[in-house]
Amino acid sequence: MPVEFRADLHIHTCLSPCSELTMTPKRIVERAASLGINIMAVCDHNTVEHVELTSTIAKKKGIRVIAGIEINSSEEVHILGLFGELTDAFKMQAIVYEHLQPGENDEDAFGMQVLVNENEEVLGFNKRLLIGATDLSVNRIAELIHSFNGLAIASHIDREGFGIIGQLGFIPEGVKFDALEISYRTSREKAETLYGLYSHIPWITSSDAHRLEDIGRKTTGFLMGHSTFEELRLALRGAEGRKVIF
Amino acid sequence: MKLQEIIDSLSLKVENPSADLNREVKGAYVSDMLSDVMGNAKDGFLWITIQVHINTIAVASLKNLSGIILVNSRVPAEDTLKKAIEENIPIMTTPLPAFDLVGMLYSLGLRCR
Amino acid sequence: MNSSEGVFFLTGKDFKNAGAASSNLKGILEGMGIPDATIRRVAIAAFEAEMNTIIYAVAGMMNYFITPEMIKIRIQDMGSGIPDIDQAMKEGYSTAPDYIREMGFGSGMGLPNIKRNADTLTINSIVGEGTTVEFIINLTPGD
Repeated sequence: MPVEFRADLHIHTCLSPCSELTMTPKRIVERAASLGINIMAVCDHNTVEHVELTSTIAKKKGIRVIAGIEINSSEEVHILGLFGELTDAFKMQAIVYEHLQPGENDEDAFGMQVLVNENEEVLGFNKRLLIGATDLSVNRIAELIHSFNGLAIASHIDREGFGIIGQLGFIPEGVKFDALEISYRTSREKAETLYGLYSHIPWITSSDAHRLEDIGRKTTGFLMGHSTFEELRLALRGAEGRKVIF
Repeated sequence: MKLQEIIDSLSLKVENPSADLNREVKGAYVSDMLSDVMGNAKDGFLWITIQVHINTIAVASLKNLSGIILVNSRVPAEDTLKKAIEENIPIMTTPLPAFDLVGMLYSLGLRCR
Repeated sequence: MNSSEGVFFLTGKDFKNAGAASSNLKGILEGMGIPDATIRRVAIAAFEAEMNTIIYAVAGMMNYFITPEMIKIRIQDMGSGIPDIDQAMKEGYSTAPDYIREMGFGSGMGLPNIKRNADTLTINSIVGEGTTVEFIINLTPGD
C-alpha cells in the first residue's frame, strides 16, 4: 500500500548564478532535512555538477536526491529535466553545454557560479554562461529528456519570466510534458482558474529555492511505495495506485 | 542624443528618477529575449521590451545600456525596480505598444546598428 | 490537543545512539498528555523500526505526525531492501549477521512487534533501493 512522501522537486545550489552563496549541497540538505523533506531534486541552471555531491550527503540523512537540471530553451522557457540515473543526467548536461549560448559568466552582472565540496570549500567556478539560453527548442528539450529516460516538467508555468505560458502564450500540444510546475507564487485554487485547460497534465508545486529559507516553502506529496525515481514516475502517471497530492 | 531629451519628446514616465538621465543614448534595440539582447544590443543603447523581471537589469548592466523602456503600460516588478536603483539603470514606461514607440525613436534618429 | 510533526535521523550501524529517536519521540508524546498505554505501544513500534534501520540500512529518516486522531510514523531508509516481506514478518526469521546477534539484536521479532502494537502497518520495499515502514496508532477521542 502506498504511503505519502514529501518532495521538493526544484531546488537550486550555489552553482546557479542567481542563488545565494550559502546554498551549498551540505546546507541545502540540512535545511531540507529539518523540514522532514523526503525527496529533493537538485535543479541548477543548465548544469548538474552539484547533484552527485548533494546525493551523497543527503543519503546519510535518508533523503533521496533526484538528479535534475533546469534547461533554458531557445524561446527562453525553463524546463526541468529529472533523471533516475546520474549517468543520464550527465548525458543531458553534455548536450546542454554543447548548445548553450557562448560566452563566459559575468559574476558582477549575474552572480557567482561556485562549485564546492562536502566541507563547503570552493573547488572552482563554472565559467559557462549558465544563465544563458540554449539553441534547443522546447520540443527538442522534452524529446532529449525522454530519450534519457527522464521526466520533462515545464517550470513555474505561472511565472511570466521564463515560464512557458509567459513566453509562448500557451503550452504547445505536441510537447509531452510529464508535469507542469505551479510555482510557490500561485495557490492551487487560483491556478485552476487560470490553467484549467491544462489540467490533463499532472501538476506539481515546489520551492524553486534560490535561498536556504526558500527550501520547502512549497512541497508536493507523492503517494507511492518508496522514495525512488521510478515510483515518482508512476505517481505522476497516476498508475498502480500511486498518485500526486497537490 | 541625451536620454532626458527622449524622455521629454516621448512623454515617458521614469520609474527611478534618481538614475542618471543625462547619459548619451547611442542607439536602441527591441527584443523580449534576453539572450538576443546579450548578443546584439550595443553599449549605450536603449532597450525596448515587455519583460519586467529582475534579470533584465543584469543584462542591462552587462551591456552597459543607457536604459530600459517598458511598453504597453508594463511596470517593473518590485525587485526589478530595486535592482535598477542599485545599478543606476533608468527604467521608463509608456502606454504605447512597441511598434509605435520604436517608430518614434527611429524618427528621432536612433538606430540599432 | 494540538497537532505536531517532526523528524529524526537514523544512521546505520550507529549503535551508540540506537533508540535515541524513539526515546525522544516518547518524550514528546509524554509532553502532549497522551495516555501511557498508547505511548508504550508507540515507543515499542518506533524502537523496532528504528533498530531495523540501524541494523540493516545505511541511513534513514523518521517522520512523525501527531494529530488528535492518530500518531503516524514513517521511516524510509536507504538500505538494501527486503526481498520477501511475508517471510520477514514471520516471528523469529532474521537475516542479522552474527555480530548483531551477539549484541542482543536481530532476534527476528522486530516487524512482528510493530504489527502487534500498531493499528495499521505498511511495509514497502524495493530491493537495492530501501524500505519504507509506516505505522499508525489511533487515538480515541479524549486522549
